[in-house]
Amino acid sequence: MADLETIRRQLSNQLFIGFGDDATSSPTRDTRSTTGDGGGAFGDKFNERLLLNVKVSEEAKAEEGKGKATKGRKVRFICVTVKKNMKIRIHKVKQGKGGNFSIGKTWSLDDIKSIESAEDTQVIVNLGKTYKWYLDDMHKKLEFLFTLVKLCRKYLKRPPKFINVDEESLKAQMHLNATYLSATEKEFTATFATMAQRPRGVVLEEEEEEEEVIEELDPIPIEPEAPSLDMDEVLNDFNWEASGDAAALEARLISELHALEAANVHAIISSEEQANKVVSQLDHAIWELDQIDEWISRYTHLLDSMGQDVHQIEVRHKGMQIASHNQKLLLAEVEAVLGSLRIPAYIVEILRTEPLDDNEGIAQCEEATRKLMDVTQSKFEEDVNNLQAVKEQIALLNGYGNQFATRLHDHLIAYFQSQAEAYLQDKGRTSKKGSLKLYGHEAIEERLYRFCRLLKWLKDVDTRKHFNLQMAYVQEMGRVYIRDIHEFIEQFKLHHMQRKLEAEGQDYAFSVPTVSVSSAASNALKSAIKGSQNNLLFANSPTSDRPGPAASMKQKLDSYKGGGHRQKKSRDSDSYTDSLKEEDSDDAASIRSHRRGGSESMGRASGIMNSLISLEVGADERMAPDEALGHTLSLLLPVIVREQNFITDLFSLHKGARLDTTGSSADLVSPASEASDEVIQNWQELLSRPREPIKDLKLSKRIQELVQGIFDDVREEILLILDAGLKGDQTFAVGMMVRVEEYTEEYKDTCHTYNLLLLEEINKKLVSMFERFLEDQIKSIDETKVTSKKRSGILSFIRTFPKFVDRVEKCLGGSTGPARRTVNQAYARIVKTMLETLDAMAQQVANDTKAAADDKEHLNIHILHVENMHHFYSEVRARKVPSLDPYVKQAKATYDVHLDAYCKVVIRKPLGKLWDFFEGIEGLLKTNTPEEVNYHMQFNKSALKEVVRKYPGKEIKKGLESLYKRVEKHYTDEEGLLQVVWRGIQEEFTKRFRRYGELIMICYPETSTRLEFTMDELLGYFSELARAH
Amino acid sequence: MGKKQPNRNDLPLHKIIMVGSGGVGKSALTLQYMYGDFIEEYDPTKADSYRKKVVLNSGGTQTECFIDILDTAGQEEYAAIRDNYYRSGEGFLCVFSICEQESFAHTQEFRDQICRVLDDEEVPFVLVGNKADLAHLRKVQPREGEAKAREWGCPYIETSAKTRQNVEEAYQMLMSKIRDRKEAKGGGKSAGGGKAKKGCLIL
Repeated sequence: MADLETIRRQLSNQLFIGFGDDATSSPTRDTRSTTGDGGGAFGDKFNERLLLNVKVSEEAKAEEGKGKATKGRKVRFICVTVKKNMKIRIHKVKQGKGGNFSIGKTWSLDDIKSIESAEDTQVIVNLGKTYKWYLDDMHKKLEFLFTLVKLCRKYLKRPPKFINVDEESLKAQMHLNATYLSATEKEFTATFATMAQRPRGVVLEEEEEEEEVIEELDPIPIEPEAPSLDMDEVLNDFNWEASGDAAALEARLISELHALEAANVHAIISSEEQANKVVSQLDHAIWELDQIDEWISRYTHLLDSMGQDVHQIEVRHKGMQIASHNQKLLLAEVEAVLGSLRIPAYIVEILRTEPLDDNEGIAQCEEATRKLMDVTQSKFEEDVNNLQAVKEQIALLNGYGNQFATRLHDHLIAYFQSQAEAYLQDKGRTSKKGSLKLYGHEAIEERLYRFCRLLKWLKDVDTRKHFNLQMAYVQEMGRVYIRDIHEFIEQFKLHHMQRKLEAEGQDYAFSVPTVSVSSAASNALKSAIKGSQNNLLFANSPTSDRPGPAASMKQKLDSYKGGGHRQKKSRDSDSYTDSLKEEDSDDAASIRSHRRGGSESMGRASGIMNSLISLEVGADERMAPDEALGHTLSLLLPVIVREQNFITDLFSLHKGARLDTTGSSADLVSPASEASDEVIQNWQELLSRPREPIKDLKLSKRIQELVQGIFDDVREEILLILDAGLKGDQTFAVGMMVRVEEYTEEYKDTCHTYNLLLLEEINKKLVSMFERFLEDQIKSIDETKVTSKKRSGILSFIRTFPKFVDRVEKCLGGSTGPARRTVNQAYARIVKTMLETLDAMAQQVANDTKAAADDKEHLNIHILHVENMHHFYSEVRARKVPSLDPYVKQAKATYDVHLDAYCKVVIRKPLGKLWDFFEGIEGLLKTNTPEEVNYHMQFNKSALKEVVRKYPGKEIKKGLESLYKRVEKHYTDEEGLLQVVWRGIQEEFTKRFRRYGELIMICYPETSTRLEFTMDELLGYFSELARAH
Repeated sequence: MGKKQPNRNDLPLHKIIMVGSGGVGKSALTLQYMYGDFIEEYDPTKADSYRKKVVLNSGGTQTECFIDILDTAGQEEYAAIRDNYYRSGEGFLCVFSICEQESFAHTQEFRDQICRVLDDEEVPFVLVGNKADLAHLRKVQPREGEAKAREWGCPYIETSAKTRQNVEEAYQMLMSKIRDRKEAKGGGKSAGGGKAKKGCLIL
């Protein structure tokens, strides 16, 4: 037992040091001290309290066999401990050779899988691995088992498997050693009570037991709790052994004390003398410091004044530096100015001698002028400009510039001349028979384009020379253009324009030219008109079933634009389209084609008709005069546009800040050296496009002046076309006006004022020509009353007028512009003349027919009016020309009036005396009452009776029959008016009849006399008449 | 009449007479057909005559001919006077207004009168219900017109002089009937020409 207790203490001291050392530990300690089993020392290191320790022997190697079992047993100590956090652990501890304990293995309580009580003192515990422990005796075994089982039951949620262990029997057996039990029980209770008081969750170190335990070889002295322990230490310092001699110690202490005292006295005595010495030395040191201080202040003063001097010097020095720097800068500046005004000698050389014939030379010159310009344009202050050196230099530079300007000027004048001459000499450029070609000036444009920049420079440098060049250009180019255009127009007139043949078909003209009129041709013309209803470009064609040259022209235009999709059957179409290509830029062509969209479809329809205007121009392929004018303008106007744009670009006649949306501007003009073909091409393409109006009046006047200078003679040539075109048929003037109108519209919002001027002039001429034509027509109508033998039926001019309207409207197309107004005025004049003439002729009829007794009542006047006005009304109305509406209404009214009058007159004859008699009564009634009528001799009852008797039904019927025959003779079948007129007569007749009945009733109330026929009889006569015819 | 005459005489001339009560749109139809105009204002016609060269379509062939239209007065005082121009007609467009029952009723009188005067039941005849654009004012139903037409053995067509709906068709229809009849007569004494049309049905 004692042995066990010792081991337990040792274990506790070495390995397990219970809980903390604070105040709470005191009750625990008390408890422990009462129990007497002294749980051992408490320390910080282990914090575990030993609950149970047993000595066991363990089989060293389980595998070694049973025979050697005892031999291989090792002695181990199993310790069960509890930590502060109530964790119960099991340690296997072995005892080293020196009697030191070390922990071999540690398990937690819940590592116990099973506990088995085996035979004898053997206990088998499964702690992950099965351990067979042999305890010293049965009692120990019991105690060990009991404790383990109890702990397991109490602190494990799931107790391990107990094999062959019965808690009750253990308890009963344990009673045999009651004292131990109670002691153990008590200790448990106390320990756990203490632990319950401690705050939970205090985590204490659990690891690092093993090594530290091994180091602790000596028993650790108990912590000093009283002064006596201090004494021990002191004594220890003195190497005092408890067993040593106390007297010796005392003597030693006393001697030490004496020595101390002696040293103290000695120190006091020696310190007084030294103090005095120190004081005097201190005084000396203070004096010396004062001296040093004085020196320092003197030096400071000196340094200050010296510093001031230095500063002064520095300031002065800085000023001098600035001055010299400025001077240097000034020098550099002046040098820079003069340097910037200097140009290299090679530039001067270039300006003087570089040839202007090739691109390289021009580029060189451009570069040189640019540099010269840069230099002379450099901006200096006013003062700098006044420097003598600068003045001289600039004068020198300007001298170079002027020299070059003169050289350039002379060169260009010569160049213009040579170019123009070359063009004029070029036989290839003359218009040949059949090829309608207006040659462009691309080559000249291209060549002159290179001078653009130099010319721009010249404009800045020497405006007069620049202007001179413009004039020279205008003069030279004018020569070329007039030649070109003159020949073009000659060719055109000779080979492409219809001549005279129109005369044969002019049934729409009132004054027929001397040429005989063939009805076949007129039919053809009419069908041609019908066939080309949508075609603005009316063309006169002898073959009626195709749209005529106008359309085939369009066709060609199409095929040209289609870029060859269409097969060109014709042998000559290429030359034709070539000429178009030359002249018509895509833009211009598309503008026109757009405008004439309506006619294009016509053109397509005539796909088969692909013959053309070319070498051998068939008569039917020639263009109608208005078409010809349109075509000429369509070629000529773009040429003018192009030339104008070219001049503008060449001479840089741009307003600086011109708002340019047409895409061409001065910027486009790039240096000759960079002027690639593409750039030139782009520029040339843009040349053909009309540009926006120029805001600057001076510029636009200048440009117009130039263009006019070039093309002024051209105007005369164009006017020749008009003359030639209108020689045959002057109604073409209307078509021409429309053309002119279209182009006027096209150029209205552009800068091409000369085009407008030209068009205006053409228009003026056309209007005057048309006016003359109109005069002829009116004269002709007017003369009808003299020349025409015919006095009845539809008059020739009434017949002609609708055709005239057709013709003119066809020429007009959809025009609503000035041409329309001109035409409307013409209509008004013609209609007025016609009506006047009709009246005059009616009058003549009346006068002439004195001889014809038949016409006492001026019947022919009415017939003439009725028939002619009806014709006019129905024909003109069908044309639906708004401006003619008033005349249509007028005609209708005239027709109504005369129809009515005719009916009234014509019925007199069958009524004969009845009519006289009752008209007399009607006359009387205007002044007399009905009763008075009776009293007049000729109107008394017997007179009535006599008259009535004279007109029995038979007589009336006879009269009506002859009337019907007469009326039938009066009216031609053409207008189908007989029925209308006869109906009017019937109505008038029945009206009379009723009126006469009434008059009899009113004036002769008493008489029984009635007309000899009844209404029914009368209507019967009419019916019979109608049936007879 | 000079050089023009042969030209005109070459082509057949079909004489059409417009009949019907006053205000049903005879003149409007005529003007629409002749000029493509529509006149809104009403001005009672006395009588008017129109002539025009037209293309007659029938059975895929197109022939030119002249049409002569006599537009008569609806409010004729004496029916007897009407008789007289009926005699000059080769075909009749008998017009009523679909908005006016009375005008429809009157067509019977016109029909009877024409047949009596011409003593011919098979004269080319087309019954025309005009003012078809005024659908909301309709008083005469299409089937009534159709029934009447069936009774007479003639076509019925509804037109609008305002919108030109069926205007061309009405005249074309009548003209081809006239032409057929002329050809039948010219081609012999076959009286069956008219009879054959008895069964003609309407649109």
